[in-house]
Amino acid sequence: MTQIHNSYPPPKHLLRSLRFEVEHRPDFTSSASMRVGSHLRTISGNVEIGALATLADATGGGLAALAASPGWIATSDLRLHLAGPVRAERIVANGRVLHRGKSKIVLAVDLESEVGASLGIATMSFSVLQRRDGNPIMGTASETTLHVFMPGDDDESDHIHDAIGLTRIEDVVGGFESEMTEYVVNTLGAMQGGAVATLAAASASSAVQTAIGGDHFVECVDLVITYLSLGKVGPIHASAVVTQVQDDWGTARVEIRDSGSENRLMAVVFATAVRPTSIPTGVPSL
Amino acid sequence: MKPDFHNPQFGRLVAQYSRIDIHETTLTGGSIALRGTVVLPQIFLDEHEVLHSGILTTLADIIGGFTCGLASLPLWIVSTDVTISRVQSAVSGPIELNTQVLRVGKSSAVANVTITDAGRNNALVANAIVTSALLAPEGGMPEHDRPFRFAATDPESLPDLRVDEFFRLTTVSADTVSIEINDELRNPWGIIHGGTTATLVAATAEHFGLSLTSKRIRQSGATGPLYAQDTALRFLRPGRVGPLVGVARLIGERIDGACVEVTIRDSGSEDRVVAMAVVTLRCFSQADPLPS
Repeated sequence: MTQIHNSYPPPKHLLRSLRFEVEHRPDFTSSASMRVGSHLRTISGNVEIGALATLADATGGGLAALAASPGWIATSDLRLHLAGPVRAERIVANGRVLHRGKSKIVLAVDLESEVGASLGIATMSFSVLQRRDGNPIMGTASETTLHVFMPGDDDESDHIHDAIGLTRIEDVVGGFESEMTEYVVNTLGAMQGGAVATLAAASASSAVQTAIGGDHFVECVDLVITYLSLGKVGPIHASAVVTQVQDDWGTARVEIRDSGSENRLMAVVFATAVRPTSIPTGVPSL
Repeated sequence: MKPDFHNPQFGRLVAQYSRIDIHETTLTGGSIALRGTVVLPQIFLDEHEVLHSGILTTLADIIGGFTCGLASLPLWIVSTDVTISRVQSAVSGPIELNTQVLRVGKSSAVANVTITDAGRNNALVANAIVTSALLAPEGGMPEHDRPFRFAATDPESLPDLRVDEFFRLTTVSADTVSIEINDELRNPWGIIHGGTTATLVAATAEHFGLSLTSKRIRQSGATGPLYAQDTALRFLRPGRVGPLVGVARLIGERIDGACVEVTIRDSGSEDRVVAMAVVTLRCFSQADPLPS
């Protein structure tokens, strides 16, 4: 097995905050493992869906890059569906290729607990691009490679929301924003897909929580993200429209825009947020 | 089956069966926009006046596909992804579908579809996103009159079959539903129409939902069937032969419903996977519709 060292991501980066390792195999499958610290949990103790989306995106992205080799890839969309709010101490992400075409690669990443209980599924598609100087080296598809993402020595494990720099925009439904920093950048110099997912989840859950009213805390269990353009300038803004409200859950449509780039629409997100009253009833993975 | 875009009847029956009447609403200098109207026949509704989930996704796929196609001319498109989030189950109709191009690239296009119920103060019924891959039909695309218009040529002659009859749906087991393919269920590319596949996805998920009896997903006390409310559907390969077979598996039961994965295989094409979807099933609810 070959361990790959790249200059990306930089020492203080969202991917390193996840403290995970991922193995890509010649049969175009991958397995990642992440122990979930308190900096990746919500106030109710569940795993932040943004962290799960980032893990799925990174696992799938690495696998897609190998499948696209010698080309490079850009995420087109990410659909993450959880069996319910996730409590697990360790998350295992197993990636598999659903379709490998010349211009598009489609993957699924199954999320499981250490004992194999299904926690959810992510599917994502990637556009195949021409490789440019600076794109990371992923190894070759003919050997098993291991990539380790660990923080720099001085990392104090800020909560993922603080590290991304999420701040609320007053008087906007689901209003949140984040500056473009080295912490959230991807290999194309734009906001990383997992950071976009985290921003969208904060926006949707805030909007649904407000719509439900009272002190009910809600967390996202579905994020269906269609990426439309790269966000490179910032601040990156999120706003939401609540589309459905019940006593214990609601749905929202979120728009992510790059306010520094003529407010260009970066992504549209359909989200479901629920009250985290109990742990998921995932069934063993088939 | 070879593509044929020059025969206006070939590969159009699914779109005509859907009863959609499409007008182009593009503003001068603006990006492509279409408006579809559907006067709902009773064959599309169940006893709760809920629009068939497969028809809803089919309508989004059709008008989203036309929107992406017109934005991509002289190329044309094939749908690769449809995501739909339904927020209102019961409808009065007519329903209206308004589209807008969100992105056109070298190899793909994306359209937004907003579906409202004109019979209920334009209440929001569903939001959808349709993504398409750009392709060049052999012999090129025929010229479309502009502004673009699509309507059933003779509404009176359209099949008056219920959805499960028109799409030839057959229940195989608690988690499996199939469709026998005939040429009426294809599109102008000659492959199985996205609406056919979408209807099989919805039927498989909802039939599987009948076996889910947990109180957890019926906390509101609702006792009716579970409907496909949110669907994220990926078309992975063309369906060509059939029968198409849909198999469901449970991802998890949640406070808002059940999350189900559906895999569609073409049993006549070496059983290859042609589509995959994740569907959130929820109980019928009479929640007040949010204004559009």
